[in-house]
Amino acid sequence: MTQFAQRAVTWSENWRRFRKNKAALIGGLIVLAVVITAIIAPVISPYNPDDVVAGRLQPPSNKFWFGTDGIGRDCLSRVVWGSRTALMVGLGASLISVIVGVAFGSIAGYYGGIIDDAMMRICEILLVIPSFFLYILIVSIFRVRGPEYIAVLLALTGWTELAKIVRVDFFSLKEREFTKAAIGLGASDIHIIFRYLLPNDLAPIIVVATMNIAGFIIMEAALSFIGLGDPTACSWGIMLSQGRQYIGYAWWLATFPGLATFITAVGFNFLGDGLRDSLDPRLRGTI
Amino acid sequence: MFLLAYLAPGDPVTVFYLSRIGGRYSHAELDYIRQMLGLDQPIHIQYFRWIWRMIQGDFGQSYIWNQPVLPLIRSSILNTLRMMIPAFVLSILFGIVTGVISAAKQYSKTDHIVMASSLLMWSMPWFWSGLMAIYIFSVYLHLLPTGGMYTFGQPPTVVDQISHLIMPVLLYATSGAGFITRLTRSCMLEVLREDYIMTARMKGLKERVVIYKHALRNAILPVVTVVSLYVSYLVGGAAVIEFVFAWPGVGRLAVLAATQRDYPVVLGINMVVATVVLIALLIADISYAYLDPRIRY
Amino acid sequence: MTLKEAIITSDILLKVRGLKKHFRLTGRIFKKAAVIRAVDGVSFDIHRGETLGLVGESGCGKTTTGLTILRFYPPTAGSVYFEGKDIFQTTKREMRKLRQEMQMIFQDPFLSLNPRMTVYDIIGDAFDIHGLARGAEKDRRIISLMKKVELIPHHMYRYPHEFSGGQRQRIGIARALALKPKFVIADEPVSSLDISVRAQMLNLLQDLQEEFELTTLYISHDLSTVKHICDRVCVMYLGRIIESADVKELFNNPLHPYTKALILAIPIPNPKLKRKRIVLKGSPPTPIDPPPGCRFHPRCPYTPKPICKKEEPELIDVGTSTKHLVACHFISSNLRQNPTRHLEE
Ligand SMILES: Nc1ncnc2c1ncn2[C@@H]1O[C@H](COP(=O)(O)OP(=O)(O)OP(=O)(O)O)[C@@H](O)[C@H]1O
Ligand SMILES: [Mg+2]
Repeated sequence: MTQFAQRAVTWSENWRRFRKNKAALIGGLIVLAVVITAIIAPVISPYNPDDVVAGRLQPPSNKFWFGTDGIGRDCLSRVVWGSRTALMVGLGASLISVIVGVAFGSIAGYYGGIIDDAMMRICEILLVIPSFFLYILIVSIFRVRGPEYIAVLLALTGWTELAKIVRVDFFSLKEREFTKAAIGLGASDIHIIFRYLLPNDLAPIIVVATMNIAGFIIMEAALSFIGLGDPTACSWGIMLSQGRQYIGYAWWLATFPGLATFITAVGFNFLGDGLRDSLDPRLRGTI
Repeated sequence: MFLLAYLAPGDPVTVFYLSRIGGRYSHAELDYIRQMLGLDQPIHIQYFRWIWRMIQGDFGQSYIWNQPVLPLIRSSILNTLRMMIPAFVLSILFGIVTGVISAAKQYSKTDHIVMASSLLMWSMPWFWSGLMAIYIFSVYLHLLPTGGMYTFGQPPTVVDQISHLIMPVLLYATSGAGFITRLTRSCMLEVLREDYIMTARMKGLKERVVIYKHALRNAILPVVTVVSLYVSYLVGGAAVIEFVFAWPGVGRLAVLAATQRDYPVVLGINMVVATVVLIALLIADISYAYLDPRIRY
Repeated sequence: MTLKEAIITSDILLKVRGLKKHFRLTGRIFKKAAVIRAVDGVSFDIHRGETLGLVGESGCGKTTTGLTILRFYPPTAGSVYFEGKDIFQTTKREMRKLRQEMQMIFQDPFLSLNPRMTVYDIIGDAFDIHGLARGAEKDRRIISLMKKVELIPHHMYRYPHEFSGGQRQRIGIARALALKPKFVIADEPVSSLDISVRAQMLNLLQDLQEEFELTTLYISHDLSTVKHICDRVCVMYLGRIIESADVKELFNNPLHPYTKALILAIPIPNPKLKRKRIVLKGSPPTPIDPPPGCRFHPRCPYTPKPICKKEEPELIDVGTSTKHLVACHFISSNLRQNPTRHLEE
């Protein structure tokens, strides 16, 4: 019970704790840098990412810092523009999975009983299905390959963790006295969920959503890498898959987009981890 | 009773899963399968016939390899296991050791370093580190082969195969180890807060005995359960590693089949993998009930 | 006749009949599902304007009674009539409307306020829910409520954790009064507060009761505050009411041995005044397996008669001038020859 009382801290207090956590601060800065890069991509990228600007497979030089790719496009520009794709997939998939997962978890947790049983069965099914093979199947059947489709696919199988967290928290939150007080005032179910339960469950939702962004970005890169992405898209995974073809002679092709994926994932994971420690001491040390 | 309870979610799994595939799959222009199943039949009949053949072990013919699907899948799954099992054992061992150390010294410098590096490991796009490893160890240092299972044109030897296994196994192991480290740590911390640990400490037992004998024994169980829940996720990770190192496993087979529209193979693999995962979960669940005295069905 | 007495009418506002609430404990560990008989057949009336005390040891089911009356829990059996209307038969929607008339003040002000809402939102939520007031009108009403419970209005954008326990309880009271209810259940509203602010709080409650013309069910295990604030008292033991009477009558002439023990256990301010105490044997049994017959017989200071172990005593009226109900075989056998008046069903 006191755990919940402790949770009642102001945002300025959260911020103070967050600032003390170095890893989290670094994560936050990385995320900020990636976001800014994505926004000002047209300004900072030296060339148009789709233009053939030089001979193919030129090693890094003063003119082309990250070298050129298999058809002579500038790799730096493509890495810079690739951040847009990565963020779009990561944020988009995470947003969808939060909406689906929180809605699912809220309903299951709030109503409980048979509704909850049925809904948890669905979660279990999703967990058992090897989602990776499902993507392969769906991508190959529908020939949907663009990053936006991949984002939706990732989100639609990636929301179960959130749903479970919200559900379990709702079980205890709905028995709390302040929820009873709201019922006593005559509040509707929707009102109780949105004003009383969800606001008290924001911390874990934010944390998981942030760390999911990293996972989704890596998954998108992985799917593009194995050839299930749209080969014309400007995505880090597509660049990596090209890098694999030329691994014998052009190291730079795979190195830079992979590094970009790695750094971005590190940023979101460290940010999420730091948020967990500062928003919700109760969760400190959980994975 | 236990079997019933567990098969209950299990059965809809297959049904739901197939109906998704079945339903959409007839909308897609898959003439090959359509002919096989009879175009004029209503969807649900097509679908049940298809299932029926699957149950009988008839997964159809592969389009591009031009041979029955089932043996193709069977041999590739064996290859996958040959890589996955050593990798899995390694990552569990590594993850549990570091997780326990980290938990035993909570909030120490070691703990912080372990936590940060496990998060780094977790953030690693493992297919990319695979490429980098190939570049460093094969292309640059010529120490290890770039991929495949055997060296072409040489008689297969154990040493040769091990040299092919080193990189994929290590990479796959590190991709899981970060997760298992963090999981173990949090399970350990939970157990260390329990009363009986306090009692053990008050009895004057050495801290090491407390941690390794009492706490670890109780923390392992939840670790194993959670890991088993992620089996389907792990299988996906293996697929990408196989692809990087051209390891002829089931994941690579699926990817190749998908990019070349060999639907019988893709469908067959989905079926088989789902079944294998289900069986793995079932085994995990049974052993859990067996190991945990509190759960009796 | 005081003002308070003048308000009380013979009109019954809330009628509780045969109320039962059992909790089922299911667990894999215990093969047999245990049933907690938290409330096991409770009946009483509350007249308009009166304050009825519900007293008993911890765990005897007082809170559960209150929560079940207000339909926070689905009842196991029984009915509750509010102004003649059976509230267990209303639909969910009707019940939400009806809740405007009956409110609860919770025991622990640290748990009963949403930590993520400001005082303004906590008190004002009632107006949002029923669409009663918006904008300036809502502000005005919130400020006036805060003044009534003696809170400083310009603290209204603070969060609960910025207040002391007593202030939090005032917020809880303001929230309960926002809808101008007719009936309020106050569940040990002062027991979690510092002793120094209790008296102040009780006075505030009494003032508000008069101002809002409230009918109150006052739940407490502390008989001294009950004596101070209530008009009538019901004594509860293990999920049942064992005695009820006017407050003066109960304190001057307690009949049930349990009530006698409770009253004699009240600490008295003057230590020189010695009193004989009745010491109860053993501890209260759990409501999982209440003893057969009279639930109190294992602890009864009288030597239990065979009937005590077999038959559950009925609540009968033994009062002379006012109603005085008691459930004890010793009392009822003494009165066997006299005509008894049962609580009307
Ligand atoms: N939600 C619940 N589920 C199961 N058992 C419950 C629940 N609520 C109360 N109980 C049990 O019912 C019995 C009565 O509890 P209740 O809270 O009504 O007692 P009380 O008289 O209010 O005690 P206190 O003076 O401590 O507040 C107790 O044994 C309690 O353990
Ligand atoms: Mg209580």
